[in-house]
Amino acid sequence: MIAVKNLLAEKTRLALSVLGVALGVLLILVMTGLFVGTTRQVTTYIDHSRNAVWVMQPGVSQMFKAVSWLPADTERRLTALPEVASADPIIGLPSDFVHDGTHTAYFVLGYDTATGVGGPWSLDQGRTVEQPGEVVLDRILAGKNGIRLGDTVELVDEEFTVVGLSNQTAAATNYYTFISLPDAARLLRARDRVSYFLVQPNPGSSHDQLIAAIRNGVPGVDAYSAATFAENSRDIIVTMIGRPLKTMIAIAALVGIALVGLTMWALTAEQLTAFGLLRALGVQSHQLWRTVLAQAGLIAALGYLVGAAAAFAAEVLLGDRLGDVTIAITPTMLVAVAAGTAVMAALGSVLPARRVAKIDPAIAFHR
Amino acid sequence: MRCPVCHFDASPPRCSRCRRAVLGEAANPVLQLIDVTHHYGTGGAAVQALGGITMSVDRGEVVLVVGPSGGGKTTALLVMGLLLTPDSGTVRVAGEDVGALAERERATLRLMRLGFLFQDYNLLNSLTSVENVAVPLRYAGIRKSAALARATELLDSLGLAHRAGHRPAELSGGEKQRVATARALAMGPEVILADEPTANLDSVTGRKVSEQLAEAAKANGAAVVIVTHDSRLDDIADRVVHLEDGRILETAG
Repeated sequence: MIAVKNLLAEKTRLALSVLGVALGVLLILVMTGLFVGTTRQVTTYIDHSRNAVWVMQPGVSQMFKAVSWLPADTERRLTALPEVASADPIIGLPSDFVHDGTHTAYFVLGYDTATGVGGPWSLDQGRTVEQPGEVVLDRILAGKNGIRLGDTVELVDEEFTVVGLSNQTAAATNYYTFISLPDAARLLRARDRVSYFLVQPNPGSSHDQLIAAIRNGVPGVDAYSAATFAENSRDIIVTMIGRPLKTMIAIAALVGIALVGLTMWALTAEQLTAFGLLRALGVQSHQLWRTVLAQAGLIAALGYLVGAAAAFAAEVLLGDRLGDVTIAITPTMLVAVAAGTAVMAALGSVLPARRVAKIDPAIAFHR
Repeated sequence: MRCPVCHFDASPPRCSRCRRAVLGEAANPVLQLIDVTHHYGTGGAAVQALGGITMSVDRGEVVLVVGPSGGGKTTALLVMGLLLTPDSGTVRVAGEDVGALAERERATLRLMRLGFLFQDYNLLNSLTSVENVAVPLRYAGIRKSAALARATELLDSLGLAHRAGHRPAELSGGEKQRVATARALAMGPEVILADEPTANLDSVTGRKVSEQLAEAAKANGAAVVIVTHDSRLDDIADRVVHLEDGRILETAG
């Protein structure tokens, strides 16, 4: 009763305390959400490959930090397998997009415009590539550079006309750009090579059977399911950005604990006379511990709700405005941060509670 | 035994109706100090606060402790209230020697057998009058309904039923001290220890509050020890103890 009433008595103090905890929660959720969102979004191209089996040069197990080259005749050898329904080539290499002096890392993808396999799966504006010299740019990349349909852009060392803007093809530090297969072969100096084949199984063959058949029946290539290839590619990104992001999350958690601790310290300092009175009246130390913990718990719970709501708002606003920066807040994350907030509240109230438990009850008689 | 909180026929260890702990019958005198000494500071800087005082308080008695500032009144009150452990001597509350008790047990004795009144009232500003009175009851584990019923009954007996829902900021000084009196009586203590309870009140209000305190204490079977400079309270006291330089100079009946 006293825990709640004392908190509610000073609404400004309560609001500031809740705000402090909410900031900690917001910080942790946004940092973690950025981490999860980025690692999820970064494999968007693989995730939209229609569950194909990916065929690549042996030794290549992910898309971002390796270069795969396969002879063009691999298509003939793949389609000779009874388990294979189709094998579509793509050429893909990371490059540097330069526009009006601005550099942006991006990924050039050449695909067979006749089948459309490996091409953009969702268009915001315009159409897909139909002939040489045309490009579909990611809409976020185009927006950042002020590029519109019909503009001419330079890819590597050639000029292309923008005929379409694609959705879902931006991921933090990477933007996918689509051109025809012959253009990509010329632009990326691939000659008669391609990077990957996207292979679909015949009815009656499972993906696992198809992968085994390719590995056994086509020498000089390797094969992975789209899920495995995406997972491997994500792992590479995690090793690149995971440590700094995890460090920032840990710092956010420490800031949260410090905020709760400082809040509780200030709160108990303001209530010291009241706690002294309670001790004088005969209230036990452990009961005052409970009062302090209840106040910390209440502030933490309210702070968590406000912080989580703000994080959700950030998820929506950032996702909508930026597109390439995604904050993904998952139920697991919410549960983990709720538990973390409870731990923050408990840790943050240890010193204030000890202070209260040691208070001299004679303070009640001081005038 | 009758439960002092809900007046139900109660037997140890707890009242079955309100859950108040039921202690053994208090011996008489309910409060005793025997040759109690206390010093503040150490070595050459030590100041004697109590120089071997002996006094006792009987059940239902109203005792005034008077004397000049620095004479040891407040120190004596802290010792009686188990808030200060004296250097030597014996302190008995309800016949129990408190010298060997751990702090936890002393706190329990304070809650169950002693009530406190302060010069500055020391009400919790966030709580209403009835909630302030119920504070010791709730911390003693008494059911909320029983605690609020007891608090309401006490406020009513002190003429404050109409102020039960008001917070301290909305009360006059006299009303605050009467709410504090109700809180001191809430647990049905053997002794109420009051530290200058009328110092912040005008003479008429101070006198009225003191009379109500004495009457309510007697009605509840509690003794009262009032530390005060206010000589106008002499006629509500059964006994006046004059304390100066840490020693009892005289006792007037």
